[in-house]
Amino acid sequence: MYVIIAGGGEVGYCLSKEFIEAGHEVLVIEPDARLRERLEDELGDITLVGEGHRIESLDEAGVSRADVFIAATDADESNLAACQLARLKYRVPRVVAKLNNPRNRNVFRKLGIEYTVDVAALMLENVKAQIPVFPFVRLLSLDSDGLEVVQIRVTEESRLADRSLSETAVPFLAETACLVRAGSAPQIVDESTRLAVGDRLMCVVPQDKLDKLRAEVGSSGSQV
Amino acid sequence: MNAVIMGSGRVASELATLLDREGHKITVIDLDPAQFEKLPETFGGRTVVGDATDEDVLRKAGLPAADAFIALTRDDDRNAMAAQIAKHIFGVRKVICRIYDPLREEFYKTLGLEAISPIMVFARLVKGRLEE
Repeated sequence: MYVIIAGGGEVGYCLSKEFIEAGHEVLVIEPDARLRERLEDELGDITLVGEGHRIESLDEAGVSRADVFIAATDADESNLAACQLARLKYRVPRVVAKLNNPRNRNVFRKLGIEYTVDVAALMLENVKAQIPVFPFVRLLSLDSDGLEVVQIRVTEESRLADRSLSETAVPFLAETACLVRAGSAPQIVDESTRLAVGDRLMCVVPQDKLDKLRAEVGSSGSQV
Repeated sequence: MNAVIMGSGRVASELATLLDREGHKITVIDLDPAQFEKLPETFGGRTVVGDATDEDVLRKAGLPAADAFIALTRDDDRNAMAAQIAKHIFGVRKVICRIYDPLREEFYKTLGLEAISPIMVFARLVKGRLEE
């Protein structure tokens, strides 16, 4: 695959490294000489002086033959402009934008950029996953399938504690779930699975059922 | 007419002043309140401090009831983003944005935006004068 990344900061650097290690062709468009130098030193001749929202840079990069275009600068308005150009002018099949302001997710979607990665939300959910007081954590968005992977933690206050799954709404809301319990191997649940405090359920959920599931598993009172 | 102008630089302030004088209801949005000093003492419109690429700021500036939105900051990306939000999310009837880069002016026109490149306008004007 030919992958073009606009923005050679930390995100652009890590992405380039992964794609190169997986054997793909990578080009990073970056105006800052210091950032380009770091990329070149570690990953080879993979940079282009320019900016992802400039048509001259995109032409020089050969965007029309790219399979993937990723806009990973720190400015959402530039990421939007670059992605719209890549998607609508150069017809790149897969276009992804880094979102610096989570509130822009809907704006990007309404303006034709379907796939966005919300850096702040990822950070938040990752932190929540590590802290036992949060009963509901979004782990992964599978936007193209309309699915979400979430972690449900059975806390003392949870309505799920000491119940079997058939007594809860979880089977109606989640497509499938895996039970992670300290001291035993992870297992796929069925309706007879009984939940105990401390259990974690890794659920695959249609995105339109997320809010219902969140309401169902939250402890009465807390809204986190 | 009820018009919202993004940016309070020279062109934006001139436009706001002209429209205000003609009795239109004008709101000017800028990130930097010091920019509003470019507006004359007599300016009777509203000013809003904030980022016009933010839906909430646009709502506060009255976009849902606006007849026109004009994006006139120095930044093409921000102008294009705000103009598209105004057009596609708020459904404002008349949306105009300044896009300095002539290549991108063309691109945004293909997206249905009324984009104007001052560089091209001036170049065409001078060429016209030469041909007179």
